[in-house]
Amino acid sequence: MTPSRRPSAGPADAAVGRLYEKHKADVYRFARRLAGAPADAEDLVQEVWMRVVRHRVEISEERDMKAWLFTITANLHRDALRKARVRRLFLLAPRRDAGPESDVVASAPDGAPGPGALAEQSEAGRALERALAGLPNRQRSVFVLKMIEGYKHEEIGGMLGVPVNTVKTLLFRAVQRLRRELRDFGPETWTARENGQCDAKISGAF
Amino acid sequence: MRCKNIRRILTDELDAGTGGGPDAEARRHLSFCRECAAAAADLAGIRDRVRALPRPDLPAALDARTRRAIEAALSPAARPQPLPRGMVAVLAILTALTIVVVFPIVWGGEIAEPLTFRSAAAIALLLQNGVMLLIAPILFRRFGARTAPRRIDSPGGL
Repeated sequence: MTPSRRPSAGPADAAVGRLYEKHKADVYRFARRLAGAPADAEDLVQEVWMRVVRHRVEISEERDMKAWLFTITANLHRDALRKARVRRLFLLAPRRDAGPESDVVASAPDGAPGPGALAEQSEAGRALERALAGLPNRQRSVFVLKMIEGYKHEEIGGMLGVPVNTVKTLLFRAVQRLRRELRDFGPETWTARENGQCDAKISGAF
Repeated sequence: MRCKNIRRILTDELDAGTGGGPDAEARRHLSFCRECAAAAADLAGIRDRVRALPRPDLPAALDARTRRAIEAALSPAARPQPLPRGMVAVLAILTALTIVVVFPIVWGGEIAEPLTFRSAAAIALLLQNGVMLLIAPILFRRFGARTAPRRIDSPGGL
C-alpha cells in the first residue's frame, strides 16, 4: 500500500483524543451498568476505545458520537457474553454468577462510588444495583439507555438494532422483573400502591 | 381504552418527557385499573430510584491505561506498513514460475514418470504456492494491507 492510500492520520488521531476526553466517563458508566463486575467493565472500556481507534475515520462532529460509542459498547458486551457462553459450553471457563461478588457497588475496588457514597447508599439502593445486574442482557441494555441515559425509544432501537415496539416490551419486562426482585425494598410508590394510594402518585410520575 | 394501549401511552410519556402526564382518557383508565396504575407507578418509581443511584467514576488507573493504549495504537509504529519489496518480489516470481513452468504441465495433463527434474519442480512450486496462499492473509494482516474500513454504526456491524 502506498502512503497516499493510507487514511489521513492527523485529524482523525486528534479526533480520537477529543472524543476520549469528552466521553470517557460516559463510556465507563455505561460499561459498568452493562457488565456489572468492575473487571469486566474495564476490559469492555479498553476494547471500546481500541475499536474507536481502528474506526477513527468515522468520527464526525455532525453525528451523535455518544450514541455511537454506546452502540459499540453494547455490541462488544453482547459479543463478550456470547463468547463466554461458548467457553462455558465447552467447559473452558467457570460460570460467573451475578451474586454478591459481582455487585457493582459493594465489590468495586476502584472507580465505584467512594466510601462516602457507599455509606450513604441504602440497602435498597444496593439491592437495586444487584437486581439491575441480574437482568437479561437485552433488557438491561434497554433499561439503562432509557432510564439512566434518557434516550428515546426510537434511538435505542437504532442503537441496539431492534424495533421500537420491542424496545418498549423489553423496558416493561425489565421494570416488572425489577419490581419482583425488589419486593422487599419497594420504593414509596409500590408501598403506596399496595395501600391503594397510587392514583395520587401517577400524576407526578412523568 | 384498553390496558395494552395505556401501557403504550405510559412508555411514550417517558419519551415525551413533558411532565404533563397521560391525557384525560388515560387518567380515567388509570383511576379504576389497578394493573395499569401499578405499571405507571412502577415505571416512575424505578426510574427515580435508578437515577438516584451513585454514578461510578472512571478509575484513574483505567484512565491512564486506556490513554496509553490509545497513544500506542495511534503511534507511527502501530500504523499499517506496506508489504516489504522483497516479499512482493518473491510473490511475483512465484506467480511467474507458476505461469511459465506449472501451467503448461498441468495443461498437458501429464507428469513424466520416472519423475523428471521439471515435473518435480512443478510439484514443488504447486506446494509452495499452496502454502503461500495459506499464509498470504496472515502476511497481509501483519503488514496492514487494508481494505476500506467497515462502518460500525449499525448495530450488527461490530
